[in-house]
Amino acid sequence: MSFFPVGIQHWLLLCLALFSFGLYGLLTRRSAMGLLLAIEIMVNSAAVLVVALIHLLHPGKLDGQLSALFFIALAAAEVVLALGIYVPLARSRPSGDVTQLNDLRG
Amino acid sequence: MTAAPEMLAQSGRLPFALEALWLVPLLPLAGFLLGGLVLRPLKLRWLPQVAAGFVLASLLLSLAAVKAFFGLFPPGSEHPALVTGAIDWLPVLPGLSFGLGTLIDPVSLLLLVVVCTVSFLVHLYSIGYMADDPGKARYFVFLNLFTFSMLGLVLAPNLLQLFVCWELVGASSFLLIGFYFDKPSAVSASKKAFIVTRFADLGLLLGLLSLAWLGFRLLPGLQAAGAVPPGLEAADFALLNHPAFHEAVLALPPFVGLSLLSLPLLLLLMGAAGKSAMFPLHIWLPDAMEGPTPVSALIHAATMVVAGIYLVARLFPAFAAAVTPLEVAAFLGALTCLFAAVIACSQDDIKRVLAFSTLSQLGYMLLALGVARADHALGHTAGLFHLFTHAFFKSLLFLGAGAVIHAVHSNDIWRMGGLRKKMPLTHISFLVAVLAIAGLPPLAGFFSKDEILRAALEGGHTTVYGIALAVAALTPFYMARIYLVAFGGTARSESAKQAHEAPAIMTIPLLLLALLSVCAGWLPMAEYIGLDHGHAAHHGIHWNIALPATAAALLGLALAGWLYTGDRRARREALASLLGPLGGVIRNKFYIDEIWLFFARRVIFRGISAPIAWFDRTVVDGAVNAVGWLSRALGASLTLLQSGQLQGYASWMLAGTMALVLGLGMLLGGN
Amino acid sequence: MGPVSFLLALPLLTALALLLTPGHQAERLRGISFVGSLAQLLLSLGLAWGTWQAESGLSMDGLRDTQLHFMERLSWFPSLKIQYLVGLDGISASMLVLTGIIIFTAVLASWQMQERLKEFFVLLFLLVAGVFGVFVSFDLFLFLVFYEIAVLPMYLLIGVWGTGKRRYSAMKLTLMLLLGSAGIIAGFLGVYYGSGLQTFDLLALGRVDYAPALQHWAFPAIFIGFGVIGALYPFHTWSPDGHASAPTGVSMLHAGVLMKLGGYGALRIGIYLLPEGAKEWALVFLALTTVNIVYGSLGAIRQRDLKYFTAYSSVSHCGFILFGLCTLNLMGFKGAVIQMFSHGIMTGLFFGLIGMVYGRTHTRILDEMGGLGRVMPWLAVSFYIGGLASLGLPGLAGFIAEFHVFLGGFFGNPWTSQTVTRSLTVIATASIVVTAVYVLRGLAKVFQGPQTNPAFADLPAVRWNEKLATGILIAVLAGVGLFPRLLTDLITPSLLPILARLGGTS
Repeated sequence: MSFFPVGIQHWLLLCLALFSFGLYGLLTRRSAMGLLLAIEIMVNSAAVLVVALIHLLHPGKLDGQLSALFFIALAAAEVVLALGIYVPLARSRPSGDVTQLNDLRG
Repeated sequence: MTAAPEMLAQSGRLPFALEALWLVPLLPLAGFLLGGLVLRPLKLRWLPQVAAGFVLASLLLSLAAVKAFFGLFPPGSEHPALVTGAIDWLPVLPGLSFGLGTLIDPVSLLLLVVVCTVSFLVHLYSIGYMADDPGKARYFVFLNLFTFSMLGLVLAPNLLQLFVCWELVGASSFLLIGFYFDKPSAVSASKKAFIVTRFADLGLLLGLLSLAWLGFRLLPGLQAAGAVPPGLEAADFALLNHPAFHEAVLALPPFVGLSLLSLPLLLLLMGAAGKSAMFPLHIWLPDAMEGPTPVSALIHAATMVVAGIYLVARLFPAFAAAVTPLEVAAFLGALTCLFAAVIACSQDDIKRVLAFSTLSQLGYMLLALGVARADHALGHTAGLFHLFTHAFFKSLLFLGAGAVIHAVHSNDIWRMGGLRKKMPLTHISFLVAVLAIAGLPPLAGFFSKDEILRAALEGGHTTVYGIALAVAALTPFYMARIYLVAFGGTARSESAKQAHEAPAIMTIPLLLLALLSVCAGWLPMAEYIGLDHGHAAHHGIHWNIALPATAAALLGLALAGWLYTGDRRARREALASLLGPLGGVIRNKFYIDEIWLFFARRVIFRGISAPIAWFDRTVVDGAVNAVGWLSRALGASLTLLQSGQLQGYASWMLAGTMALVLGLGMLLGGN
Repeated sequence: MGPVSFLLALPLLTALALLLTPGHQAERLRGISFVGSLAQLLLSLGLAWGTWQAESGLSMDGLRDTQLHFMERLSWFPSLKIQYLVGLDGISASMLVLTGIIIFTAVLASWQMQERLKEFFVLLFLLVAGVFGVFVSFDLFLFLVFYEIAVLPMYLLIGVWGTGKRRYSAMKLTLMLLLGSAGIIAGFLGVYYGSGLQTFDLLALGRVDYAPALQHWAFPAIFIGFGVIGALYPFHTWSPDGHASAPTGVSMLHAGVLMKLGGYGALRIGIYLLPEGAKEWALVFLALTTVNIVYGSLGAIRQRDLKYFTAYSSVSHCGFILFGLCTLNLMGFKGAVIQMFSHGIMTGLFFGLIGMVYGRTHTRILDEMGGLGRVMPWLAVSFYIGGLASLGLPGLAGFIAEFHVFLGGFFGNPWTSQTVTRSLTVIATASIVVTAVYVLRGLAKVFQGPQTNPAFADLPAVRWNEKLATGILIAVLAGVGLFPRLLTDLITPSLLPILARLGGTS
C-alpha cells in the first residue's frame, strides 16, 4: 500500500532529530525567545513520539492523539507562563540575552 | 508498743486532746497563712497578737494532751506510742507509702511542750522587741511558719514527715536569719546556715532512702511472720525501732565493713550533726546570730538546733541496736562540747558566746545519747532531760541578751557594763539562767547535767566523763564572764549609761522563763520518758556525781570572778601570755571557718564550677558551633554550582539525565 | 468533634480571631488572647478532671493496656494506615493542664509587650496548638506533625522578638531540634516497619514485641532525639542561648512546656515501645543524665545573667526527668512526670519573673542588681518561693518530684546493676546542695543586700496581670507540693502499662 513504508525506526529518528535540534538550540541560543522556541521543539518531539508509539502498540486507539492534544494544551499554558516572564524581562533588559540574567548566582 | 493502745486509737476512744493533736502544728500554719495572705497585705496592725494567739492555742492544746496522755498511762509505767490523725499523704508503690500524722509518745510530748512554750514566750517577747521594726509583719509570719514546721517535725510518725519538716525549719531559719536583708552580713549568714545544713541533709536524705528501701524489702516478710504489728509502713518509726526489724537488717551482709543498720543511721547522724551544729558542721550557728535575737532564742538555742538530738533520741532503739553510730555520736558530742566551750571563753560578742555555749550544750546532749545503750538507757533520758532544761535557760539567756542589746545597741560585752542596776528584771532573770546553765543546785541545769555525768560514768565511758566534767567547769566560767562584764562593774560606753529596762511585754517572758529555769529540773524525768523502768528509775541526787560537778562549777565561777570582777586587766594579760599563740587560735575559732571557706571558694567555685562553665561554653557548645560552621562551609562551596546561567543548568540537567539513563540501562541490562 | 479535638481547635481559633483583628487594636488583641488562653486552661482542666474520674474507676493491678479516654479515631491516609487518633491518659492529661496553665500565664506575662503584638500572639497560639497536639496524639505520624508545629514557630518567635544574639540562638535551637527530629523519625520508621503491622497506631504498636536488633538502634535514636529537646547532656547547649534570647512569654512556654515534650516522648514512645532497648541503654543514659544534673547545677553557680542562670538550672532539673525515666521503675517514672509538671510551673514562674524584673531594671546581670527586695517586694517573694521550689523544699512541687526520682534511683530495677544505679543516684543527690548554693547566691545578689543603684529606687509597681500570673503559678507549686496525690493519683494508672511492657511490677 505504502509507497514508502514508514516503520518505528523512522519515527524514532525523526523525534531524535527534532529533540536534538531543540536541545542544541537550548544550549546555544542566547536570546530568551530562542530558548523558548527550542523548548517547544523538544516538547513537540516528545508529543510526536508518544503518538507514534501508542499508534504502533495499540492501532486504532485514539489515546496517542488525545495525549498529543493534552501536550499541546500544556505547551500553550507553558508558553503563556514563559511569555509572562519574558515580557517584563524584555522591558527591563531589552537585549534578551540570557547569559546576562545571572542575578540568582550563588 | 502494746496492742491495747492501738486498738484504743483505732476505735477513736482517745481523749479529744490526743485525737486532735494534729491541730497543734496546723494552728500556727493557719496563723502563717492568715498572716501572710490576709493580714499582711491588708497591713493590719494586730498581726503579731494574732500570730501569738495561734501559738498560745497550740500550747494549751499540747498541755491538755500531756495531761490526757499521762492520765491514760501514768508516769513510771510502760508508755505506748500512739499515732493519730494519720493520712495517706504520698503513696509511692503498693507496699510503700508515706503518711502524715501525729506520733504521741513521751518524747514527742516533751518536745511539744518545749517548742510550744518557748515559741509562745518568744512571740510574746517579740511583740515588744520588734515593735518599731517596719518588717515586723513579715517577721511574725515567718515565726509562725517556723513554729508549724518544728511542731510537725516533733510529731512526725515517720522519717519522711520528719524530713519534710526538717527542711521547712531549715528554710524558715534561713528566712529569719536573713531577716535584715539589707545587711550583707545577715544575708551571707543566712546563706551559710542554709547551705551547711543542706549539705548535712544530704546525709539525712540518703539515710531516709536507705531505710525506706530496707523497710520496703523487709516489711512483707516481717508481717508475714507476724513479727511486727499490721498497718506499718516502710519509713514509720514504729517499724524502724522494732527489734524484729533490727534483727532482719543485721542478718543482711554488711557493706564496706558496716552493718546495713549502721550505715543509714550514720547518714542520719550526719544530718543530725548538721542541724545540731556538731563539729565540723558547726560553722553556721555562730553566724546565724545575725538574725533578730528572739529568733536566736527560739530557733538557734531552744528548738531547731535540738532537732538533731531529737532525731537520735527518736530512733534510739535502732541506734542502740547498731551501736557504732552511738559511739560516733558520743565522740562527736564530746569533741563539740569541749571545743565549743573553749571558743566560748574567748569571744566578746555576747550572742556569739551564747551561740558557742549552745554548741557546747548540744554536744553535751549528743554525748549523753551516745553513751546510752540498749541495756543502759540512762543517757537517753539524760540527754532529753538536758534538752528540756537547756531550752528554758538558753532561750532565757538569749532573750536577756536581746533586751540588753536592745538597750545598749551593741553586741560587744566590753561596751556594756553596770547593767545590773539599770535593768533589774533582766539582770535577775539573766543571773538565774547563768546559774542554771552553770549547774548549781537546785536549778534546772544541775539535775540534767548530773544525769548526763552519771550516764557517762556508769556506762563506763571514763574519757567522755572526763571531758564532760571539764566542760562542766568551762561553762560556768564563760557564762560568768559575760555576766560579770555586761552586768557588773560600771558602764563602759555612753549607750550603756543610757540603758533602761525593757517594757513589760519583754520582761514577763523573761521572768516566766526564769521560773522554768529554776523548776524544770525538779521533774522526775525518768518516770516520764525513761526507757528502762526496771532499775534506773530512782530520781534524786547522786553524791558521787553531784559533788565533783558542783565543785567544777564553783571552780569555773571562781576563776571568772578572779579574772573579771572589777579591773583585772593585768591578770587577764598574764593569762593570755601564758596561752601564747594558742590564744589566737582559740580566738579565731580554730580557723574552721577559713578552712571551709577555702574549700567553698577555691575548690568548688574556682576549681570546679568555673571550669565547667567554661567547658560548656567552649568545648560542648564549641562542638555544636563547629558542626554549624562545617555545614556552612560545605554549603558555601556548593553555591559555586549556582552560576545563574540558564544554559549551565540545562547542561547539568542533561548530564544528569544521561547519567541516570545510562545507569539504569546498565543496571537493567545486567539482568 | 470530641472535646479533645475541640481543645486542639481552640488555640487555632484564637489565632484566627487574632488574625482577623487589626494589628493596632492592642487592647482587643490582648483581650482575645486572654479569653482564648483562659478557655484553653479551663478546658484542659476539665479534660484532666474527666480523665481522673475515669482512671479512678480502673483497678490498679490488672492494668496492662494503655487506656485512652475521650478517644477519637479517624482514618487520615488509609493507604499508609495513618490515623487521626487522639485521646487522653493520665500522663497526657497532666501535661495538658501544665500547658493550659503556662499559656494562660504566658499571655498575662506578655501583657506589656508592644512590638508586633498580633503576630506574636498568633505564633504563640500556633505553638500551643502543636504542644496540645503532641500530648494527645496516639498516632506516631500525627505526633510528628504536631511536634514540628510546636518546634518551628519558636524560630520566628526568638528570631523576631528576641534579644541579644537572637538570630544565632534561634538558628541553633531550630537546627539542633531538627537534628533531634531526624533521630525520632528514623526510630519511628524503624518501629513502623519492624512491627510488621505497618501502622502508626501507638496502641497497636504497643502490643508488639520488637526484634532486639531493632530495639538496639531505635531506642537510642528515639531517646536522643527526644533528649535533644529535653536538654540531655551533651545536646543541651541550644537551651541556655535559646532561653536567654527568647522574649518572656516564649521562654515560659519553651522551658515550661516545650522541653517537656522530650521527656514525654521518651517515655510514651521510646520506653513504651522499645522496652528491651531501654533496658540495654539505661545505664548509659543514666550516666549522661547524672552529668546533666550535677553539671547543670555546677554550671549555674558561675552564671552572671539571670536568664543563663535559670537556663542552666533547667538543664539540671530536666536532667531529673530523664534520670527518672532511666531508672525504669514506677517511682522513677512518677518522679519524671511530676518533675515535668513541677519544673514546667517552676521555670515558667522564673522566666515570667525575670521578664518582669527586666522590664523594670533593663538589666539581667546579677552584679548590677542588689537590694531589689525593698523596691519590688511582690516579685521578690515570688522569686523566693520559686527558688525554694527549685532547690527542692518540701511543701512545694519540686520536692515531690525529686524525692520520687531519688527513690527510683535508689530502688533500682532488675535489669541494670543495682550498685551502679545507686552510686549514680548518690552523685545526683549532691545536686540538692549545689542547687541550694546557686539559688541562694542568685536570690541574694538580686534581692538582698543594700540597694545601691539609684536608678532602681523608684520602679513601676507590680500590675494586676503580673500578680495574677505569679499567683497562679505559686498556688500550683504549693498545691502539688502539699497535696501530691492530686498528681500522682492521676498519672499512676497510666504508667502501669509502660511498666508492664518492661516486664516489671514496681
